[in-house]
Amino acid sequence: MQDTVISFNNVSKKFKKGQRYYLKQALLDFFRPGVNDDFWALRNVSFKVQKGEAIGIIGANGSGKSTILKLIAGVLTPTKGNVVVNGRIGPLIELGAGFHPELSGRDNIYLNGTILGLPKKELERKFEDIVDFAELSDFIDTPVKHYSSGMQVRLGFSIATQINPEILIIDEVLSVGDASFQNKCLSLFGEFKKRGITIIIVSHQINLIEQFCQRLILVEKGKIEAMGNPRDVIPVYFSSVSQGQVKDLINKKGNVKRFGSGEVRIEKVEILDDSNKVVTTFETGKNYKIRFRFKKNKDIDILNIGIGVYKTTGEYCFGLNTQYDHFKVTSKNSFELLLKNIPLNAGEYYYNVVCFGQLETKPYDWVGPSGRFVVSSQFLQRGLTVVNHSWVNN
Amino acid sequence: MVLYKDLFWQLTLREIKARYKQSILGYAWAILVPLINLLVLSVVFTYIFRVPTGSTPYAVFLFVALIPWMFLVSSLTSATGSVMANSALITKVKIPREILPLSAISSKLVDLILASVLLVAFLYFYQVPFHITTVFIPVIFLVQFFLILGICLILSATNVFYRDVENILGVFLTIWMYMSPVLYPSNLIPENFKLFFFLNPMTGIINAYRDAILYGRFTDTYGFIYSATFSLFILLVGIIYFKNRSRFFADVM
Ligand SMILES: Nc1ncnc2c1ncn2[C@@H]1O[C@H](COP(=O)(O)OP(=O)(O)OP(=O)(O)O)[C@@H](O)[C@H]1O
Ligand SMILES: [Mg+2]
Repeated sequence: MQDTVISFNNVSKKFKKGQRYYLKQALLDFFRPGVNDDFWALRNVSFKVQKGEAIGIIGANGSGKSTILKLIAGVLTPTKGNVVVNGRIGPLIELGAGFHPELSGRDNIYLNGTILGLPKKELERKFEDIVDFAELSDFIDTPVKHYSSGMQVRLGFSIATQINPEILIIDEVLSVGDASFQNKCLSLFGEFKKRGITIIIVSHQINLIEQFCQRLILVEKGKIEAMGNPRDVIPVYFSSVSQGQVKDLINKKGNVKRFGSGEVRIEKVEILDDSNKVVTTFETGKNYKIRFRFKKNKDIDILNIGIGVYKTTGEYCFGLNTQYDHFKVTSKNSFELLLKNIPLNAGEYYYNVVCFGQLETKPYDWVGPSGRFVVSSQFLQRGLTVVNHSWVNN
Repeated sequence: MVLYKDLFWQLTLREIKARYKQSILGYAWAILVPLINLLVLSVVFTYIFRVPTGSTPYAVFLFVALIPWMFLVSSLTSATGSVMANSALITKVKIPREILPLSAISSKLVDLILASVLLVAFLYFYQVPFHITTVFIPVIFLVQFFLILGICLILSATNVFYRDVENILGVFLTIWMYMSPVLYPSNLIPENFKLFFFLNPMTGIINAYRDAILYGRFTDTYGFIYSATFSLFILLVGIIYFKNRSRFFADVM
């Protein structure tokens, strides 16, 4: 009864790594044909999308999500297998300056409309809608390359959604729009769903995708790792993203920032559960202990320690320190912070740790991020935190 | 296909507008550039090198060939980069990519038409009699257009993968011009080079233009048929090659 609008049959896509685009390269390739810099961005990917479905594609950076979208858009050609798409497909909405960076917003709208086969009359009628939705009427004659990223996305989004596509493909752009635009998009999506428009969306914003899609595809290293109901796929995603480990980053080099005057050094931060075992995964609503181990290099009078927990998407979740709580650290090299019923919702988090004397702004040692962890939740709630609640009929 | 007709027009118009919007003189360039070229070359080849062109004034002799040649040069130059220039389009939506070089060439038709008006004025000024053979011009032009389109398809597709094609093109075009009877009549070519010379498809085309416009005679039939065959062949190769390569455009953009 349902029609399949997109079907991927054993699709593989090969790219060349380190291609250089000069004639010299052609000569080199000719004389050294054996050099193998092939890279398979997708391997044997098969799935089907029914009309009117909202599908989310998730996965780590470089896993092949955008490649899938480009194959759907018909922009890339599969190396093996075949892609069948039935229905009028809107332009791929992705970051970057519209169709034609040099052209004004107005010209871009016309160019887009024409490409999608809209008659001029209809396009003129739609023009206002498009501009209104994008809220760009003041900038409509400015070249698109001078738009801010958010404005570019709004324009692209607005064009693609207002021309009545049958299939809409969106590559990680919602995060660029501001809150009001995001909300507008979400309500538009709702309407699209009702109208039976098929939507394929790639995003790292798991809560958004979870809210919106009835089916998720998890891609990992060019293969489909899991597919199905968001509730089943998202935990697989989180566990694969950080291999189910609480990661201690303190003594790692790389993206970890560290500074301070050095009187005290944080040696280790451990997260333990009720039974004092070092945990590997968090669960919403359980109790945990954070154990700080430190080393005093000098005798100091006052020692305070603090921790700040953030979502990997940037939101600050909570920050605690001993100074606020008037807790006096008396132990020589280790103490614990007890967290009760942690209210964090499912997701990825990281934390920064600091130890200081009188002033937090003059730390002995500051490490961030000093660790990462993943929370899984059995509660069905949205947002950053899980709130203890109940409903009552009056 | 009908669906893409509008797109083709829009791209072509955009190209035309973009070209003339930026310069102060605007469309006047389309007249000025061939005029300046003509002036310089005429002076050099009438007073310094003295190319014998029989009873026809050298300026007219040159102009008849220079106009189609300049069309070839400007088409090739703009079409070669046309696919790369539209990479934003290519990576976002599926369109027949042939439209891009095609509209790049078509946008140069404006220049060609303006220059042709100038040519008519020239012919009138130099009192070149009107010949009925002028009716062959569309046929000759079609052959030239096929040749140009074929080459443009090949160059624009290749340029996506090897981006210095654009740079080399200039040198190539200069050499090609000297190997074609633009500045001189083909009877100046020494006997032992003739065969090589006539392998160049532009030879037959340029001779055909001159014969039709200036001398009112049928051109060398074999030469022209060779050019026509060659052009069709290049067009065919161009279409196949472009189709094949265009599948990988987005891979490298
Ligand atoms: N045109 C290309 N040429 C060469 N390699 C490419 C090309 N496009 C993508 N790749 C490679 O294919 C892999 C998948 O890329 P893709 O853009 O699909 O990732 P993604 O899942 O969208 O990642 P992200 O979350 O960062 O957007 C990457 O390793 C990338 O380097
Ligand atoms: Mg991507």
